Parts: sequence; structure tokens; C-alpha cells
Amino acid sequence: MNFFLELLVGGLTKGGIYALIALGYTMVYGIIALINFAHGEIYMIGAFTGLIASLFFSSLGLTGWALLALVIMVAALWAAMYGLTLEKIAYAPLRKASRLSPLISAIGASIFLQNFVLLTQTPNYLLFPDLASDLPGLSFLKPIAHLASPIQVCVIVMVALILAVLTFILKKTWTGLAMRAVSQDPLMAQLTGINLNKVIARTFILGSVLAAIGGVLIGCATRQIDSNIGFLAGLKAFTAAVLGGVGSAPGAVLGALILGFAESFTAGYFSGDFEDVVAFVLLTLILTIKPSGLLGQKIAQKV
Amino acid sequence: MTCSSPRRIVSAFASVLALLAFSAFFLINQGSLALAKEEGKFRLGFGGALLGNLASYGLSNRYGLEYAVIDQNKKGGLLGSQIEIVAQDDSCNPAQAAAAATKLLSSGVKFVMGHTCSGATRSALSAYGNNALVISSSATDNNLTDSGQHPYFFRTTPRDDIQTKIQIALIRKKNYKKIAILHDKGDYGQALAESIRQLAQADPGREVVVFEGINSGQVSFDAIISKIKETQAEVLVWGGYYNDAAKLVTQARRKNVNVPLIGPDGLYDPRFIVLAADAAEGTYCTGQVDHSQSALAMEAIKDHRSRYYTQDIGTYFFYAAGAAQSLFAALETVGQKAIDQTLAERKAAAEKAAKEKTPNQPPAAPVEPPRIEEVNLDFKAVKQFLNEKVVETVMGPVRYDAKGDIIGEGYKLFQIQNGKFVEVPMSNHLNL
Repeated sequence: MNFFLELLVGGLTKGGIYALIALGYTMVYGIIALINFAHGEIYMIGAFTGLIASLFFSSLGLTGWALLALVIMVAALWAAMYGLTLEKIAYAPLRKASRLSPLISAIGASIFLQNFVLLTQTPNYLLFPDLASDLPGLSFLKPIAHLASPIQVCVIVMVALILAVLTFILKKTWTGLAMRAVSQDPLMAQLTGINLNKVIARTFILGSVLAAIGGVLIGCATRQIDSNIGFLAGLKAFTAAVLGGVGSAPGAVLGALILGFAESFTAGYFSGDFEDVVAFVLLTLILTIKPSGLLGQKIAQKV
Repeated sequence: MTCSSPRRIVSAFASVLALLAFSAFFLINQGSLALAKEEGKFRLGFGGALLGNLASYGLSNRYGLEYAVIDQNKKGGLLGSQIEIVAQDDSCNPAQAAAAATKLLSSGVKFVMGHTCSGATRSALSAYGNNALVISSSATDNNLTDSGQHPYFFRTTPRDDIQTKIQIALIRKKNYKKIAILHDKGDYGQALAESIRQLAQADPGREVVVFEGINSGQVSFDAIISKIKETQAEVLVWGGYYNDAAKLVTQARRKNVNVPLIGPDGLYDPRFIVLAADAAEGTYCTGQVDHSQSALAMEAIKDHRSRYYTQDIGTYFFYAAGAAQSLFAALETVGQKAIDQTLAERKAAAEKAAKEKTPNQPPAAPVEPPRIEEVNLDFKAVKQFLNEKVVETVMGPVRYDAKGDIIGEGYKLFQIQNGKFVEVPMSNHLNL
């Protein structure tokens, strides 16, 4: 029973990690229907910035919540600038091109960023400090460390928080309304006075902030980063987003959790060799039955 | 519109011209490439990871090779020809390694030092076939020489099965009954894991409770760590490189799973201690013998540091230098014979021509001995030399057995104590 519980929590953590990245992925897709392959790289840049910031602030003597919050803020700010620049350079000039062009541009941007960090930072693996390990207020977790460590709790709480804030922004604020309008019909939205470029820029900033939060928290959880982490994480997050229905935020979380549980239980009860096999068979099955994903809405094709 | 419309003809003519221009450019390019091969230089290939996450391994090999080449060139090169390194990166990726091998072959290289990782080496060897003689200084997979498919492959690094013999000796000494074995599904890691599993299962009373491959670079190893705990394994044996091992052991310690970790030479890298920090304490790993204490070796390190101020020499420096020096010795002997033979042939031809000469022809130019890069170096003769002769190198005496493995090299057992690799003295029953 305890073993089952451990696998459950392990799956929850893994799912939470995938969800952190998948949320930003799916949000950008939902609004401008662009599969932003460079999202994983923004996450990687967030993690690198987080590492540099955490070394800087901890050398100033900061600890605990203040350190974690400040590191996340710096990483989010830096990643947001990258996201915005990326949008201006790689996607904005292609807004009127066919749908394939921005996709290729996104792949190019992803490869560029990965090698940029590799060449300008380091090709080595780096140790990421566990900023959550001695957070005051989370010490009650000590006796159940084998089940849930502080960082795992932080990841899950953050996923819930992001989901709530994202829903609030999209449903209750003017920016959210504009974003939804753009996602439904860009031309009509412009006719009502919405500045398309502004809305898309905000979408990218929001997506990059989410990626950077993921970068810092996942860095704390895995304790290791390198210039390559964005690729695998981006792939898994993309899978999770597709599983849940691309464009749906709750769907991304659901898809990520299903992926996490599938991998965790397969590794636990069968073998780590089959982890990916089972996860992707599941993906194929679900998409065969429900092609738009679990919570995805079928959009009528305009002719 | 008919075919004979003037527009069509013009465009057809233009495309033919364009094609001609392109092919002319191509020919010129080829010609310039051929010219670029400098006279009086012997080209020696290097294949390995110079970029990417495992570049620290490849660079160490490269540094050792550079030292050996510069040292040899100072002494006059190979029979008067200076040696030039032609390097190709493979990033330890098998697909890139095959491409690198093809590139090296097409640039006229016949002798290659490399590659860095076992998987990449296996793939490169298939691409070389019998067209190049290859000496690796870091590929440890048993199968590379055991398979017998690559008669012209040699290595100066000791093989994996020596490592697993040390590991099983440690397991026996500590009397661990339940063993968990994990690997990274790569050529190097999986081969090690399979080999330790066979040894462990052969022991009565010992049980392999977990044997699995894990996905390298994963975000969380929680499930497999829970499993190790659930099966009450007493020891975890890892087959793979240091990065995943560091992640694995950090996450295990965080979950209060404190089984000791035993790893191969992939862990014998200071970066492992940096990455795993406190979690690395107590970890055992097998590692290469320290070659840096001899006078020759110290000279080599000094020479290297005079060229690279901040660079560390890494794990494979001496294996790479030793490999190159053994090859140079073989090439000098085999090359001299080939040169003598070609010279004799040329002289005979010149004499024959002189006899048939009519009085009106100008006198023939004197016969010059060929250079080593011009003669055909017989791989069989080189192999025979490497198998029979002991060459004194910077890593000590080097000789290879018939399969191509170095004779007399071994591993040592280390334990990480207070953030340092400390050698564990092997008592008699641990001695191999």
C-alpha cells in the first residue's frame, strides 16, 4: 500500500513538472494557434537565469521564501524578455505566412537558443540548488520525506496556483477577453479596436513567465540543468498538452498528470524500460478515441 | 507554345550553362582541396566528442593526442614528415560518429585515434571497415574487441569486464545479497550492467532484484527509487555516465533511500562530486590507474599546461598519448620498410630506363626516397608490430593482445570521502 502511495505521489510530482511547462505551451497555442517549439528553450533559459540569480542572491545572504520568490521573479523577467524578442524576430514577420512557416521558424529558434546557451554558457551539467529544501513553514514534511519533499509540494501548489491565475486572467480581465477574441477571430478582433500585436506580445510574455517559473522549480526538483533540458521537457509537455486537448489549460494539467501517473506506475510495477512505451500507447489510444484531446473542443473548420 | 519557342531554348541554354558553371566550381573546389594537403605532412585522424555534454571526455583524449604529436614533431616527426591532426567531432552520438568517420576517410586519413564513447566507436568502426586503423583511448565496451569484426581496432583503456570484476569482488566482500542494477540504455552503460548481472547471478545466494534501463535526462526518478526501497535492495549498481547517476543519487537521498551506489569509470570524474554534492559521499566507483607520477608523465603535463594554461588534463590524457606513441613506433618501423621497398622498386625502374636510354635523351633525375605519407602502409604489418613489440610510452609500456586490447592495464577502486576520490586498497582476495 505504501509502495502504491509512493508511486502515486511520484506520478503526481512528475505530472506536476510536465504541467508547469505544458501550461505555457498550451496557452500560446490556444490564443495564436502556434505550436511554439521554442517554449522548452525558454524554460531552459529560465532555469539558467534562476541558477545565476540564486547564486547571486544567496551570496547576499538571502534565504528561504524571499530567495525563492526573488529568483523566480528575476528568471521570469529575463525569460519574458527572451519570449518577447523571440516573438518579434521569429514569429511576427511570419504572421501572414502559411501555418507551416512559423512552425519551422519555431524549430529554428529552438535549435538556435539551445546552441546559443551551449556556446555562451557551458556545455557541462550544472548543479541547481534546492531552494525549497529548508523553507520555513514546510518543515512539517520532514517525517514524510520519503513521500513528499518540500519541492514536490511547491511544484503541485504552483501548478494549482498558475491554473487559477490563468483562468482568472483569461476569464475576468480585459486582456484575457482580448486574448480570447484574438483566438476566435483575429480580423474581427482588430475591427473592434484590439491591438493584435499587443495582445500577442502579452501572450508570449505570459507564456514565458510560466516557463521560467517551471524552470526554477523543476531545477530545484531535478537538481541538475544543462543546455539540453528544454528539448526532452518540451517534448513531454507538448505530449501532455496534446493529450489534454491543445489550447485548454485544465486539459494540459490533466494530460500532464495522466502522463506522469502512466510513467510512474509503469516504472514501478513493470519496468523503467517500458515507461515511454506505455505512456505513448496511452496517448495513441486516447487520441484515437477522442482526436481533439481529453478536454479539447472541436473547432469547426472555417471554409 | 511549341518546343522550339525562342524563350524555351534560351532558358534551356541558361540552365545548361548554370549546370556547367556549378560543376566547374565543384571541380575547382575539389582541386583546391587536393592542393590544400600540404607536402611533407602525415595526416592523423582524431574522432571523438569535442562538443556537447560529454566533451570533457573527448577533450581529454584530444589533449593527450596533441601532446604526443607535438612531442613527436619536435623529434623530427615520422621519418621526416611532420604529423598533422585532422579532427572530427562526434559528440558521442553514434549517428554523428558514422558521419565523422566517413569525413575522415574522405579526407585521406588512414590512421584514426578515437572515438571517445563506446556507442560512437562501434558505429564509427562499421563506417571505417578495413580502410582505417583505429586506436581508442577511452572506449571500454568489451564487445568492441570481443566481436572480432574489427581486426584493425586497438585500445589503450582497460576493458569493462575488468571493472565489473572489481565491482563484484566488492559486492562479495560486503556480502550484499539483494542487488539493484540500473543502466542508461546506452551501449556503455547497458553492457556494464549486463556484465555485472551475469556475475551476480552466478553467485549462489545473491539475487538481482531490480534490473532496468532508465531514460537518460529524465526529470524525476521517484518511481524507480521507490522500487529500490520496496525490493529492499542493499546496493545499487549503476551502468552509465555521471550526470544521470548524480541525479539518481541526489533524488534517492532526498527520499531517505540510502543504499550505497557502485559505479563504473563513468563516475570517476570530479564533475560527479560537484553535481551530486553531499549525496555523492560513500559512493564507490572504479577508475583508471593514475599515470601522472612518472617523470615522463610530469614532463607531459608541464608541456600541456604551457599550451593550455587553465585546462585540466582529464581522465584519458595518458591513454591517448600512449596510444599515439605506440602507433608512431609501429609506423616508424613499418614505414621505413615500405619506404625502402618503394625506393628499391624506383631504383630498379630507373636502372631499367637507363639501360634502354638512347644517347640523345637528357640524363634522368636522381632517384629520391619517398615520404611516409606517399607509401602504402600495410595494416597487417602495423598490427603485427603492435601485437609483438612493447613500446615505452608516457603511460608506461604498451602492447596489445591479438584482439586489440591493451595488456597489463587495470582499474582501481575508489570511494568518495569528504568530496574526494580516495583509493580503496584491494586486499588479496580483491586483487585481480
